[in-house]
Amino acid sequence: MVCLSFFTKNRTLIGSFKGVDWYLILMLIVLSGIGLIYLFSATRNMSNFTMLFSKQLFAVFFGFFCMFLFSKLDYLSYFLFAKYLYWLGIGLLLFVLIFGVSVRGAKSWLSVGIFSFQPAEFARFATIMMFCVFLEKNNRFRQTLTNFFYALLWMFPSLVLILMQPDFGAVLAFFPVLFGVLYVIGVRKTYLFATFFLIFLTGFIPFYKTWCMLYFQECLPYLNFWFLLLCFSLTAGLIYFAFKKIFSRVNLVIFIYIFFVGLVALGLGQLTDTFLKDYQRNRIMVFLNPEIDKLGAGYNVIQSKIAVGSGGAFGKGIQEGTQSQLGFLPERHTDFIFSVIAEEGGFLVAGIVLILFLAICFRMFKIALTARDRFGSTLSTAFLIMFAFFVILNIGFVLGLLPVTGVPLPFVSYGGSSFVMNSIIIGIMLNIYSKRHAN
Amino acid sequence: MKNIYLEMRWKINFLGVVAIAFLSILFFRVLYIQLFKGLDYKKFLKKQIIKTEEMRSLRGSIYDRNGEILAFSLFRFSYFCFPKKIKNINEVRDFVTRKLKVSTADFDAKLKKNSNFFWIIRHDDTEVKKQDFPKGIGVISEEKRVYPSGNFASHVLGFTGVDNRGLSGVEYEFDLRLSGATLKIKNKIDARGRNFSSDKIFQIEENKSQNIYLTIDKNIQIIAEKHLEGMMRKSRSEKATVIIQDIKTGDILAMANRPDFNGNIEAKNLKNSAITDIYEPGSTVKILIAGAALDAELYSDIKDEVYCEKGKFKVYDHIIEDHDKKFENLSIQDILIYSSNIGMSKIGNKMGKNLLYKYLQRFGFGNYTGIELPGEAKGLLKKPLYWYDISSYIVAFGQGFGITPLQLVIAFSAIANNGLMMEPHIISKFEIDNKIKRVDKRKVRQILKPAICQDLIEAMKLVVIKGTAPDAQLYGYETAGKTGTAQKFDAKTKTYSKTKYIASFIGLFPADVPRFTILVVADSPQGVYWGGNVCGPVYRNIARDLAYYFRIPQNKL
Repeated sequence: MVCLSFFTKNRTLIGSFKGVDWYLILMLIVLSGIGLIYLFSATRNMSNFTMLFSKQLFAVFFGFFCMFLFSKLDYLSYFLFAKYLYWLGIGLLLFVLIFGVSVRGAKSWLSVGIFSFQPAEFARFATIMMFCVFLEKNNRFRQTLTNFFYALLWMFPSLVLILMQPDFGAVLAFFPVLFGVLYVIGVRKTYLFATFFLIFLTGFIPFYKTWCMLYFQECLPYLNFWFLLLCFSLTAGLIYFAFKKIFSRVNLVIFIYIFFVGLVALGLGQLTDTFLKDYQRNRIMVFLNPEIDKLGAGYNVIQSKIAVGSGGAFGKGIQEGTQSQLGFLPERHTDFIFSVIAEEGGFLVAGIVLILFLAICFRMFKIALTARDRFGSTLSTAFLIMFAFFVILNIGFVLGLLPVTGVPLPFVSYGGSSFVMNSIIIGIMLNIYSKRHAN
Repeated sequence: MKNIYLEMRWKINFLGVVAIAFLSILFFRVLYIQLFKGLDYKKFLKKQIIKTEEMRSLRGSIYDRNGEILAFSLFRFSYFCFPKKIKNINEVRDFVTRKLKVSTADFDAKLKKNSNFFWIIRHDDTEVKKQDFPKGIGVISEEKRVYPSGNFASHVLGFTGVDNRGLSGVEYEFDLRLSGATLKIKNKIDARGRNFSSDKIFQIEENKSQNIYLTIDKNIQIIAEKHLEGMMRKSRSEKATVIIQDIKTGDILAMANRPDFNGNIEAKNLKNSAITDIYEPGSTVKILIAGAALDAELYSDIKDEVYCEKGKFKVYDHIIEDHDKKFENLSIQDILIYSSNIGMSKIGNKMGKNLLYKYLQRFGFGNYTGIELPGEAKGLLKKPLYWYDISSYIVAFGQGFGITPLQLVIAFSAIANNGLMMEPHIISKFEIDNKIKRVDKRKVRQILKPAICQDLIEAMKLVVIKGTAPDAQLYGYETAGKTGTAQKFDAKTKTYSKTKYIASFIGLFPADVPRFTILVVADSPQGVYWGGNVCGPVYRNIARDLAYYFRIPQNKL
């Protein structure tokens, strides 16, 4: 089953063009083209324009080259590579924590000559790869709890290391991938549910506390761990007795198990809340109510919405967008590139970009369905989820639907690391696609 | 194996649908924001990229009718201090005392009170070179309103606050016109508030530079104020008012009140008594009521006689008395000359409430005169339904209703103008961007028949010659007028005061061909309180000066 050949056997020119997903490639070319045009527009007035733009141009060509390269590399070979890639990723993350360049309070950049890249991008890719490989290798034990824990354990180190930088946005993508892959592989639903419950509650408590800070300042002192514990226990007890009344027979073991998961989640949630940085707290507050800090943390979202809205149907034209050109829009070439597109290109271009993303996701989804084997499917699904998650998160916060988390828009935002890693992912998927009929 | 794979397909399908669903939501969200909400966001955008700057010229000037300047603006220097920026306190103190002529004690007191910013001196005219400034002291030029004649016509002109907005008088009424040309410059700005392009500037001139010419004649106002001042000193009244009106046009030539203020220095005694004070006119209205009775043809001639009850007339528990003499039969003319209350109350009773009310309204009482000054009062004139039974008796000699001095002047001017009432004006013209716009002189209504008016003027002449106002006689000229002495209504005791009076005299000058109506009102004079004695001489002096000023020839020897 494990194939060790690095390249496909069919080495003729025609053969190598056969079975390639040309739609996907074409769509990516159009997308990166649009991305480059609006990057040009967004960075034109910056002092280091030539540097920025040529770097990105290089990243695009290098990315497509990587895509080609990885589409030729048999995906089954990752059974061999994954471990090394994984440890390389961890090593890089440790390295960046020690020698990294600090940019705006986050040590996430490693500079090599004139280039600098984000190891987190690579580490995430490697970790997800390792995660899938591990699950594939231990597919027989997929329903056991130990296997489940081991799988999570593979995720854990890079997750913690990235959080130490700290790069909250980069960590976020792990969770949907984790759940998606575990769900597809067929882990026991109870485990999945418990984990989800854990993570959800952990994430929910900071939100809840921030919400209380905003609207119920006076009850804040009572919202400590013990109070929440009391509430939680009471609710659990009530639900237990209600179930007992209705069904007369309830599995007490499962109930206790869920109860303890809840307890752990409560503790974790409180912990996250205390470790929440001020700017993160502000972002949550602003997400809950953007009006409270119009010129501070809420500024980005408001300006971004104005940019998108004022674009109208056909936009203001390249380099004519007042929001992006006059400096109202922050991070206009990285996180908020979509606002620039929507402002200067209007719904016409923004719509095309969104439809392209939809179509790309659809192609990836198709690849996941038609893959030759389970590993191909799992890997494609993982990448699909990651890709879609980034798109949704980025455009979501640009439109003010989600809290601002600094994640780039794949293939469009400025940033070489992100572009190249996304190209590699697509390359791997192209390989999976080209192998769909083999054997 | 196969089964598991099938199950996986289903799960992947599910995940794919979820991802695509989320992306679709985003798509429709973008569609909604851009296509349906686009205009709203464009409005937001406009708000934040367009900055409006206002540039103002100096406030407009106020002139008298002949172009004499009464109020204007100029730039003065205001010196301020940032205590935190001071490096060498001794140098600053030295600068303040030497150059700005502010005492060190004053400066130190301010320094102690304010830690961030304070004005050392505002609107000062000393100019200091830029390089002489010590650290922590700065200067800006500020607009300052100047009234060159000080107290002169202060109630008419009004004054402006520190921010150069008019707060009373003409300054307030025409604040918008006077506030100078406003140039609104709209600039596109970037996120840091800098103008980013010089070619996309919109300029809108919102207001035009305007000057105002009053109907006040500076010389006549000076005459009025001079004699008013003299009367104030002599009679020690609480308040006093003089109004001089041009009979033919309705222009107010002078309007002076005491006490007054100096708009350059302070703002107190802001009340323009000539238009805001309501008082019971007393005997002065007898002329008007008699005219009304004749106009209503209740009496055929001014020589008709009325029985005057020998000085005491009892109506509803109320005794109406004449001042000193006890009359039996008096003609209407004599009633006016000797100012008989009893005679008038009989005329009033004959007219009845409704007719009295109708004529009082026709004379302009109980209604705004429409003069271009703020805060004008309507007076107090109740509808006849709310009158007491006795009202028709007492209204006829000027009690039981209230008027403003200006209303009385206008009514008398109408009589002198053969019964034709003219609209009063304080503004003669506006100068808008060097173009003159005159204020129209408008007729209000005919209040009495011309023949009756002549009779009334004749009666007023006799008042001066042999009646209650001998002091008002001016040698060489014909004078006419009517005195008034009204007891002040004391709000505390709800009765008429025994000690406080409002003395007034309203006269026409010259009486043969009337040109001016002159009203003198003195509120609570001490000592002699009779209208003829207190105000009559003021009328005479003003009339004499007017005769000199207009070179009116003497026609009586």
